[in-house]
Amino acid sequence: MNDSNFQIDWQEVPLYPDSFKPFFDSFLNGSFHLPAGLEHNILLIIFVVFSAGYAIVSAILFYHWYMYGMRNPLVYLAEIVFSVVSALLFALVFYLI
Amino acid sequence: MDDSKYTSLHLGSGEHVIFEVRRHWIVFVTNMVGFLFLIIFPLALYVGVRIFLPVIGDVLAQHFSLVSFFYLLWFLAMWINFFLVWTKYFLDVWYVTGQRIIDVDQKRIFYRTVSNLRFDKIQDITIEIPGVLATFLNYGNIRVQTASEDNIDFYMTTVRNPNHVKEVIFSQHNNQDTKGSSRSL
Repeated sequence: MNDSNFQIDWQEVPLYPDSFKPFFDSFLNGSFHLPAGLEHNILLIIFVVFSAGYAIVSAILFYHWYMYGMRNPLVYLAEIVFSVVSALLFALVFYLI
Repeated sequence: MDDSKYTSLHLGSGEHVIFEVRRHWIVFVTNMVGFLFLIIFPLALYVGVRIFLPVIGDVLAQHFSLVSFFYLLWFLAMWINFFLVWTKYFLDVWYVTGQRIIDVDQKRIFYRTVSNLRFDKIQDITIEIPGVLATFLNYGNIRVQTASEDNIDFYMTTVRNPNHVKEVIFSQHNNQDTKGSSRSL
């Protein structure tokens, strides 16, 4: 019996296809950037979708506070803190994009 | 107490809210610790990666504004989640009036049950102080057993100052008994 039949033919297997190599290399060496317009648009879309969800959940919260909060001072405080901090954070996110 | 703010409870004429029974703040603090961890964890991860995996850390630093963008979205998501949890905690309450207990059970943000228990249906009130922390912080579980055919009990866990709650409910129960017996005479 010929032992060579049982030898495994080793070869280097790349971690990613060659066509992706420039993408990963550029990401690792810091030169990677999406085309400026595209990056901005993608972030803007993410921001808009997130803001829509946030607005819906906020409306639900305000509805509950108004309907069942029984005009408790803590509810008023929660409304103010929630609104102010949310507005600040949204302004910061908007500034980043 | 200003009863005009309790319009959604549909109180009867001459009925007033005597006090509100809420769960102890320790319940909320426990949730808050979880949120703090979720907010701090990405920051700690970022610092850890920069220190221990400098190659990846440098890449993240080069895309800092992108990382900040997603972290701020994460922070906002945690922020609104925090208020959802607080709302559930705050709206889960018993209103004790001169005639009954109104149990508002805010199970989820869109799942709310409201039950009433008149004092003349109350058979017994049991309180449990489960453990050392509960003893020191003065919280416990309270069960109001009813004499109704349905035999539905009112139960709330981690109530603040359960002994006081029990005393107030019993005193209202006794007041009802006194009024009832004086009417029948």
